[in-house]
Amino acid sequence: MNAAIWITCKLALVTTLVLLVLGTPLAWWLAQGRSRFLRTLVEAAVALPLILPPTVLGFYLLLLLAPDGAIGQFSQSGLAFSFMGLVIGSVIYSLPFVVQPLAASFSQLDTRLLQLGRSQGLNPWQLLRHIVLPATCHAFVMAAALGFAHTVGEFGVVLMIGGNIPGETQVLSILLFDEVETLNFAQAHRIAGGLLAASFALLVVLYSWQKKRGHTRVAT
Amino acid sequence: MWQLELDGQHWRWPQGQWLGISGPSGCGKTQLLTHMACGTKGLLQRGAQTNLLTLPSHKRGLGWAAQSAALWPNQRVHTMLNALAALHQANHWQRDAHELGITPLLQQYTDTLSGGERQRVALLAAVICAKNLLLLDEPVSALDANAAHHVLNAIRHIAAQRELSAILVSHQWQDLAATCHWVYHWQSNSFSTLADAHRAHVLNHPSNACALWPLDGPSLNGQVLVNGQPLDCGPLAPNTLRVRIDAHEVSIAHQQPGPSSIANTLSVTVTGLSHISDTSLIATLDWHGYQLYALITPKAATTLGLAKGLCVYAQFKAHAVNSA
Repeated sequence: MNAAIWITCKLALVTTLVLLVLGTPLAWWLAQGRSRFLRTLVEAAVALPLILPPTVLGFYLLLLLAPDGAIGQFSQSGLAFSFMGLVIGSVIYSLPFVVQPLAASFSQLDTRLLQLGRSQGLNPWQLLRHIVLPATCHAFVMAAALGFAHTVGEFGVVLMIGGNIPGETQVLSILLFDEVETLNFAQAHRIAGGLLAASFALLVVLYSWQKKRGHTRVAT
Repeated sequence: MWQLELDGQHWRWPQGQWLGISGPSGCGKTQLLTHMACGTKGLLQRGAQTNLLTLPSHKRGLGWAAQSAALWPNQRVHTMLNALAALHQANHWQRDAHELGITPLLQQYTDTLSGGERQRVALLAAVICAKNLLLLDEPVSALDANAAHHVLNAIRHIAAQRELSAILVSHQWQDLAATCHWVYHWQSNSFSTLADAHRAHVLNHPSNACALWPLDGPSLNGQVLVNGQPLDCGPLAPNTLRVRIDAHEVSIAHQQPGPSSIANTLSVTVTGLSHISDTSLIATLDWHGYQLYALITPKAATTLGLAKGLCVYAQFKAHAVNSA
């Protein structure tokens, strides 16, 4: 079980980092971009994993990551059933959970504040550092937490493209499924209870931080 | 000489002087300043230098205190001001912060400031950023009259030290009168000197009437020189450019009064009488081409037999001579 915990955490962490790096410019473009029609198309594409059965996504990803697939052909033996394949699948599957809170926060940014920043001599990088990030840091925390938690909880996509290779692609949700199938309910309870407690604790910490943050600002 | 051309309008005003813009809500005053800070059409130029509107927004050297008094979010005031000062090599901003009364606010988060505090911090940020021109959009609208007067005086002092010009947009006549050398009335599309604009204001709002007189030089030993004549005055700021004498401080005598505690007695001619109410009347007085106003009762006007062209004596105390 320790190997599954390690792989789950590693997968969630790497996925969250990749999502923050890729999702931030994408969310900025969705919030502030000019082409309305193109934005609508991309917005719909980003939101697809919310309504698509994970197995559908997993099926197409499996084809893409296979040794002769559009993406898999660039690696020696394909990316399916590998940790890298899991990361790619998780990034796509958790994309809306990171991009949507960031885009919502970016779209609420006061354009006058950005205009003021530019007139104060800030270049785009300084604008991001001094105005955009401080104004939207709560959205980054929320996006990272949701991306992490959603990756920890994914099952269908992981099963389709990662298989169930202990020590390499076997994450906690798959291990739980295995234990239930073999009627090892004691172990299944430990995994399910652990995931439940961890998810609940994460949400409690997140909401407490939000409340404390608002309270601190008012009280200072 | 500064010049601004936009949408067929043309403004010119000397370097180092302040241009005031007044007008009703929604006439486009704020848009004008926003365009100068961010827009690209038109001309904004000092002398024969580059048209600033052809430069990217962050290279124009403008100090813009926006109407919303927007500040950098979720950080302490000193973090924002330090970053701006480092960017613009403004090493002495703490002195200006002290002058604007911001020093006690430096450790606070920008989101926790009141409206008036935000405006003062936004003004300092504008001063730090300004290399060419200050754009001040209703910069003291959230302050009470005394604080507004103090803050505008401080900004004018700082701007004078750095030879900065400014454009001040305001609804408040007093703010424009206290700081600007030129006032543009948007409503009538007319550009007028402060004296002309003030005359127009007094005609429309006689109850706010006050004389605004430029000084010939700084105050010395409790006296100022106005129009070549010495006037006794109360304490004035060293940077006072003009003095203000409110109409309710001025009284009129038919004959030369004897010695009294009223320090200033001027020989004036009545040029106008306008009734404000049953109990108030404004007498417009001419003092060697300078306008002075006296708020008196109709009964006093009748007793004195005031009429246009009559020569009388106007009196006001030294402490009625305030800086403007």
